[in-house]
Amino acid sequence: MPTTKSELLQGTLDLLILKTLSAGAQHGYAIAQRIQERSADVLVVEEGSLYPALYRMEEKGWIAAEWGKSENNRRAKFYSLTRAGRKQLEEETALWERIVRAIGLVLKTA
Amino acid sequence: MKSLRSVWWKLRSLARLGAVKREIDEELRLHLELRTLENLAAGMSPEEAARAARRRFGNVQSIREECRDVRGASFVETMLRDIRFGLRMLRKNPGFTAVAVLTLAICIGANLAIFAVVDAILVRSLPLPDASRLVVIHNAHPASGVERGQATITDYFERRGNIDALESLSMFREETYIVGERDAARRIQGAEITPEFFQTLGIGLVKGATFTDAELNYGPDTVAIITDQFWRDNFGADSNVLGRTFLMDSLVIRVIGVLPAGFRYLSTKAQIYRPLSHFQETRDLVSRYPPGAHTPDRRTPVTRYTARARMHDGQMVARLRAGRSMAEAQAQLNYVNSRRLALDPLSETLKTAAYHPRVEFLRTAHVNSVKSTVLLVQIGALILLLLGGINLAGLLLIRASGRMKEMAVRQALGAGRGRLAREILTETTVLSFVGGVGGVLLAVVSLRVAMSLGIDALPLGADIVFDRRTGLAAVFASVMVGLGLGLPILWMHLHGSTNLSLQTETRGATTSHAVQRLRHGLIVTQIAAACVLLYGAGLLGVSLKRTLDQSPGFKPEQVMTGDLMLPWQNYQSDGSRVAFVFRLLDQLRAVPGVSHAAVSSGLPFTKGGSAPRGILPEGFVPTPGGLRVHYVSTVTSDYARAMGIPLLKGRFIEDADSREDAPKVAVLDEILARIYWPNGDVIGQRFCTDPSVFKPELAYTIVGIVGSVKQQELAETAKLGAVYLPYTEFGSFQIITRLSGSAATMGSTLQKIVRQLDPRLPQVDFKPMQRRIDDSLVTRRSPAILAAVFAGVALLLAGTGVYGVLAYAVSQRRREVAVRMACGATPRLIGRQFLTLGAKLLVLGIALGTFGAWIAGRAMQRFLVEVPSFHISTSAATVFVISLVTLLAALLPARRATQIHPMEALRHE
Repeated sequence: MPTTKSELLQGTLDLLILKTLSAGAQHGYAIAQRIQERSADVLVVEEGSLYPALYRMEEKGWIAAEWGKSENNRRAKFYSLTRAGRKQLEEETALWERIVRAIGLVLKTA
Repeated sequence: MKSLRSVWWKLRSLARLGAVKREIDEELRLHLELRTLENLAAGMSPEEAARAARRRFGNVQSIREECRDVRGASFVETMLRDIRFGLRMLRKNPGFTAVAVLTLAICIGANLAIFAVVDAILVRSLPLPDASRLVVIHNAHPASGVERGQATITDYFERRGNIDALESLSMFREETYIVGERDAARRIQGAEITPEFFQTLGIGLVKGATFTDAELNYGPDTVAIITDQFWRDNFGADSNVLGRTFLMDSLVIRVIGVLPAGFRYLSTKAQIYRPLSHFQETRDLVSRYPPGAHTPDRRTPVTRYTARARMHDGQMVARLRAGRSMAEAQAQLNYVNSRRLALDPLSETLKTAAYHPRVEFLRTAHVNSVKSTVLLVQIGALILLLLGGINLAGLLLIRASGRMKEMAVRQALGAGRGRLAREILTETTVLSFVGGVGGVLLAVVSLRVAMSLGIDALPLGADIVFDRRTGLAAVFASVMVGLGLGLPILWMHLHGSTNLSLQTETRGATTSHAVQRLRHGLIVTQIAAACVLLYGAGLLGVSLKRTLDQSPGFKPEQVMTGDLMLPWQNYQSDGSRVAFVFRLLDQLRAVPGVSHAAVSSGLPFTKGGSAPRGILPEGFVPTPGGLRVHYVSTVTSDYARAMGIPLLKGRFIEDADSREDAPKVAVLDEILARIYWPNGDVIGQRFCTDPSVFKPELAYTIVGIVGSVKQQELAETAKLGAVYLPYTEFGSFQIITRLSGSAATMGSTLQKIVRQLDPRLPQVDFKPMQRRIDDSLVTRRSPAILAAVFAGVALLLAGTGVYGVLAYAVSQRRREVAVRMACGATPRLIGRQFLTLGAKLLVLGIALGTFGAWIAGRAMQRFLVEVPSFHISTSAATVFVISLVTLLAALLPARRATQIHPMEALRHE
C-alpha cells in the first residue's frame, strides 16, 4: 500500500476522528481505515497515536465506548459521538475553516 | 470542570485496574489482527503480513504504556512499585529499621493511648441519645466555698414542671445496698432516682415501666428497676421477671422494670434503681411551714423534715427543650429560686452565701475534674512524638546523604521533582506506617494494662477503648509523620547543587553547609524538647512530693478501716443500732493487737460521706459570706485516739454522751473555733445544727477542740472545718481500729468479729487508712509517673540523636582529621574539637529549652502544689542531667576521632 506519511497534528487527528464518527459508531481500526480512504490515501494515521487519542477523547466526554462484535466475530470496542462531541466537532470544524481561509488569503496576495 | 471529570475517570480506572489493562490489550490486538488480515488479502504471506502489520503499528509496548498512562492505570502501579521498593530498603538495613520502628512505635503508641483517653473523656459524646442537651443543675454557694453543690428533694419538686426551658428534670443519688442474705450477702451499687430519670436521659425500659409518684413515699417504695446485667445474674434472664422479688437490705423488693443492655449512667456502677423516697411533707415544706411549726398530726416536729429538705445529696439532671438555650433555663431557674428565697426563713443567710442554682452541660460538669490533667498529658505525649520524629529525621538525613550522588545523577538525567518527591515520601511513609502498626499494638496493650490498674476510676473511664476513631487517628498520624520525615530529605536533595554532588570524589555524601546546619538545628531542637519534658516531669515530681509531705492531720499508720452498713429492716430502732455499735467496739477492743477502736459516720478520704452542713452558733449573726458549711460527723469516744488526732483543749466525746438522755455535747476542730470564736473561750459555747434558727433545747455544748484534718485530698486548701457529735443512730459508718502491730494480717480477724456479731451482714472490707489516702492521690500521681516516663524516653532519644550526629560528623571528616594528625595535631586536640561541637549544640539547646520550660512552668501552674513556675532546683537539675547525657553521648564519637590512624584513614578512601 503506497503511503505518504504526512505529519498530523494531534488536534487535527481529534477533528478527523470526530468527523469520521459522525457517520456512525466504529471501532478503532475502522476509523483509521476510513480516514485513509476518505483522504484518498494522503492521510495515514499514525497508529501509535490513534488509541491514546481515542482514550483521551473518551475521558473528555466527546466520544462514548461500547463493546460489540467486529467483522471477524471478535470482541471490539465501538466508539460513538456524544452530544458534547458533536458540539466539539462543529466548533473545531469552524475553527479549521477559518484558519484555512486565512492562510488562503495570505497565499493569494502576490 | 474538565479536570474534575478526568480525575473521576482516573479513579474509575483505578478501581478496575486489571480489567482496564486487559481491555487495552484486547483492542490493540484486534487492530493488529485486522491489519494482518488486510495484508493477507493484499497477497502477502502470513508471516510477512503479521510483520508488516506490527511494523506499521509501531512499538506495541510503548503504545500500550502510553494508553495505560492516559487511562490512569500507571499511577497505581508506580505507587505499588515505590512501596515495594521502600519495604525492600527497610529490609536491607535491619538495624536501622529496628531502631526507627521502635522509636516510632513508642512515640506514636503513647500518643494513641492518650488520644483514646482524650477521645473517651473529652471528645466523644456521652453514650446517651441527644446527649448534648443534657444539663446538670448545681446549687452553688461560692461565698461558703461550694462551687458545685448538690440538690435537695425539695428543689426537685419546686422546679419540676416550672421551668419551661427544660423538657424534663430528675434527680439521681448513688447508694449502696446489701443484696441477698447470710453468706450470700453482697454489697451492690445502686441509685435512687425520681420517676422521669430514664425519660430525661432518653432511655426506654426494655421491660416494665418507671416508678409512679406514689412510689416515692416510704412504704410503697419497695420496688426497683434493674439493669440488664443484674437481671441476668440474679434472675437468669427470666422473661417473666416483672413482679419477682429479691432481698435487699433485708427488705423484699419487687422488680418492676428492666433496663436495656449496655446502659450505664456516666460512670456509675449502679445495678439497682430505687425511687428516691422521702416524707411527703418534704415536698413543699419550706413554703408551707414556717420554722417551729408542727405537722397537722402534731406528732413530729417539722425540724425533722427541714433537715431532710436541706439535705443536698442528689444530682439534678435535666434535658433542655429543643431549641431552648442554657441562658433561658438559667434565667428561669433564677426566677424560681428568687421566689423561693422570698419564702425561705433562711433567705438572708442564703443570700449572703450567694446561693444560686447553676446550669451546666452534663458532660462539662462530669469531666471537669480531670480535663486539664488529661490535656496536659496529651501535650507531653505530643512533645515526645516531636522528639522521636526529629531523632528519626536526623537519622534518615544521614542515611539519605549516602544517596546524594545517585539522586544528583538522576536529576541530571531528567528525573522530575515530582518523581523524586513521590519516591522519597513513599519510602518514609512506609517506614512510618510500619512504626504506626507497632504503635497501635503498643497502645492497645498499654490500654489493657491501664484498665486492669483501675483507669476506669476516671470519669467516663470505663468507656476508654481502642476503636475506629483511634484507628483513623493512627493512620493519620503515621501518614503525617511519614510526610514530615520525608520533607527534610526532599529539601536536601532538591536544594543541594547537583554540580557539587557530581564533582566530589567520594562515593558517599557531600557536606553542604545548609544540610549541616539543618542537622545541627534538629539536634538543638531535640535537646530543647528534652529539656521541656524533663523540667515538666521535675515540677510534677516536686509537686507530688510536696503533696505527700503534707500531713493529713492525723496518723494513718497502723490504722485499719472498714465500711459497714446496717440494713434498716433488721435494725429499725435507733437503740438497736447503737447497741450493735457498742457491742462491736467492745469486741474489737478485746482483740490482742488492737489498741483503739471507734466508729465514725464520715471518715476523711472516704467517698459518700454526708455533704457538708451549716451550723448556727448561739448569738451568731451571719455576715455577708457568713453562711459556711462544715463536715459534720458522729463518732464514738475512741475516735480521736484511734485516728491520732491531737486533742487541743477540753475533752473528746465519751461513751456516756451517746446515751439517749445525755446532754448534747460536741467537739469542734481548731478551724471552726477560729472562725466563730476567734477571741474568746470556745469550751461551753453552744450551737445548733439547724442553721435556720437557734433553739436552746436542741443546742449542742462544745466540750473540746481537736486538731484539724484534711478531708478529701492532702493538698486541699479549702478549710471547711469539722464538727464531731456523739454517735447516735447512724446505720452506715466506718470502723476505725488502731493496731499496735502490723496491719496486714488483722483484716481477716476483724472481719470474723463482725460476722460473729451478726452473720447476716456482708463481709466488711478492711483496708489500711493509708490506702484511702493513696487512692485520693491518683490524679496527681499518674501524670507525674507518665511525665517521668516521657522524660526518660526523651533523654534517651536526645542522647542517641546527639551521638548519631556526632558519630556521623566524625566519619565524614576522617580524611580531614587524618591529614591534620599527620601534620602534627594531637589526638587530644581533635577530640576536643568534636566535644566542643557537642557542647555548642548543648548550649544552644539549653537556651531554647529554658524558654520552653518557662512556658511549660507557667502553663502547668494549676497542677502544682506550692511549687513556683520557675523552680530553681528543678531547673538546675534539668540542665545538669541534659548536659551529662549530651556530653556523654558526645564523648564516644570524640574518642573515636582521637583513635583515627592517619595512615589507615588516608589509605582507605
